[in-house]
Amino acid sequence: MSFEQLFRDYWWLIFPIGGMLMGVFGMFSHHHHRTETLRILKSYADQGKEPPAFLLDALKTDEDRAMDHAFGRGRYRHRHGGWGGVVTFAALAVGFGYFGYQAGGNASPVFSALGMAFGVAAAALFVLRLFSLMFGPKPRHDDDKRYDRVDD
Amino acid sequence: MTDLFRQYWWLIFPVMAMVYGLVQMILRSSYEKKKLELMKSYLDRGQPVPDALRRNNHF
Repeated sequence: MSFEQLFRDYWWLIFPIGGMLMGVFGMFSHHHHRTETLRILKSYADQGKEPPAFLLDALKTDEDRAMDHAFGRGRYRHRHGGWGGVVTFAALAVGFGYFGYQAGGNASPVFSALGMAFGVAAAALFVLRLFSLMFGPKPRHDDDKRYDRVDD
Repeated sequence: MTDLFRQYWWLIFPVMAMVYGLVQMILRSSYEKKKLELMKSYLDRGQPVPDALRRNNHF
């Protein structure tokens, strides 16, 4: 009984813990990618050859890319404007908030708390989006043709 | 046991943050070591080190 009750009370911990595991996994695979790139570069260097530009490009961080490419021309811009996060978080906030409101006082306050947290996140993302719309780079008409660009 | 978990479940977050930081430190040091080795192999051959390797490419 106690384990079932524990699961009932803390099932939502699955999501943050899953997110953490995904983060750690992402870190490992990123590290694997970068060290493999170094290994290939080393084999080019050992043969005395000039490595291809895209291998060197793979070592850059996203920050480097953002600084290298003139403002608003990077490959890593949000392709549909970044409204997806706002919509997702707002939907989660509404869902959890509604559930918390429906259940009233006899449910755990977790739903209301989650709804409030997602609501704050959605509002913050919305404000950030508005800022980047007002002051950010304008999309270029040929943006969709530029994803395979490699330049230093 | 369950009482302990009920009282201290929030410790998952700081502990995981520490684990995350530790893993990141270990991976970064291994990457930097390999990068230095590659730079050394360029220098041993008398070739210039590519600009992409000179960067401080942390993630």
